[in-house]
Amino acid sequence: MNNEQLERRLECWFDGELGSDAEAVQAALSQSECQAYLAWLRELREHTRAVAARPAINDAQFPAFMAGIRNKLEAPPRRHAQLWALASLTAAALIVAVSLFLMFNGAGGNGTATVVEAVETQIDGATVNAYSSDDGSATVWVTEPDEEDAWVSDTQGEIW
Amino acid sequence: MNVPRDGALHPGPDLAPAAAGRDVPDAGDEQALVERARTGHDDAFEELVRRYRNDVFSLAYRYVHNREEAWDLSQDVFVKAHRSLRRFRGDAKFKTWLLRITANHSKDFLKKRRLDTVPYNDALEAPGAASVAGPDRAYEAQELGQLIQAALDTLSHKHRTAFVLREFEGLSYEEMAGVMGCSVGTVMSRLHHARRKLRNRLTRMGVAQGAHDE
Repeated sequence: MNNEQLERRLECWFDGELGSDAEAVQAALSQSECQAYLAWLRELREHTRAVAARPAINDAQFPAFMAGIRNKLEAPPRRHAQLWALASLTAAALIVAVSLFLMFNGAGGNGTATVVEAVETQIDGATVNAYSSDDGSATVWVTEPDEEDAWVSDTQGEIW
Repeated sequence: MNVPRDGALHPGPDLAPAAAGRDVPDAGDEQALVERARTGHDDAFEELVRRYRNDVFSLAYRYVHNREEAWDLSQDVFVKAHRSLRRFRGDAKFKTWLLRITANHSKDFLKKRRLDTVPYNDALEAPGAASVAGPDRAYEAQELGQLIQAALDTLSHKHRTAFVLREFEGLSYEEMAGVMGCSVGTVMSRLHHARRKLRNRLTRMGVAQGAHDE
């Protein structure tokens, strides 16, 4: 048992909360460290109880106390917490709605249409052509002699 | 807020010894009272307030150290309890439930007041504290109380609650677990850490000897 475990056991014993482990603690009590710790616990409790007078609302004060509770009960409960919760929920819903709108409408995605400024090929005898459609995509095709056309397409950026 | 000042409405001191002379209400009787209060009987609710006002007030006072604020806070606790009576399932004792509301409400109150974490005040350290051989018996009770209170205020809400419920309110571990909404094992752990930290703080203040490492 390490120091901390032992201290916890001692505290349980000191607080009267220890059941079957009491014997183990009793055995440990002969150690000077345990005795010192117990002495400290007792000292702390003595100090605390000596100065810890319990504040109270006495019988003569009770009617005033109860009247205050009744007054507060008659007042409508404050809605600040609910208002904040509602505002947070509304803000979150708004953010989700705007995100979905942007996602499905493509705003911010294909912002720039691809424009093919020039095409060329180093394949002997091959010809290369390009076509830009109205939706911003571009198609480049290479025609080789005796071969089928090789198609390359990209919606934006560099054509490979 | 309408708080009677000390001495205005009552003849003697309103401070009773800690954890002493408290009535333990009959469980069946309490359940019947709660049931009646739940169905709108004001007299039953008033009786519950009468029974538990000092448990709530005392705990609230331990957090705010001010009678007027503790008074106001205690009233708020009973107002909350009244509005939530339908949700009280009766799994725990009514007192435990009330103290739980008190602890939570006090925490919110302190957050608003920005006193939840009071910075450690070096001025509280006694000069030459390290050379003090034993606890300084010359401290008057009031000074000692202030030092213990100052040390308590440096603890986190959870640790402070554990210490207050045990040492000031005299609750059992099981009752503390009910109030703090955790297991008995967690209660033991929090109480242990609270005591160790208090020991360190008080040692630095010159009130105790033999600090443990935190």
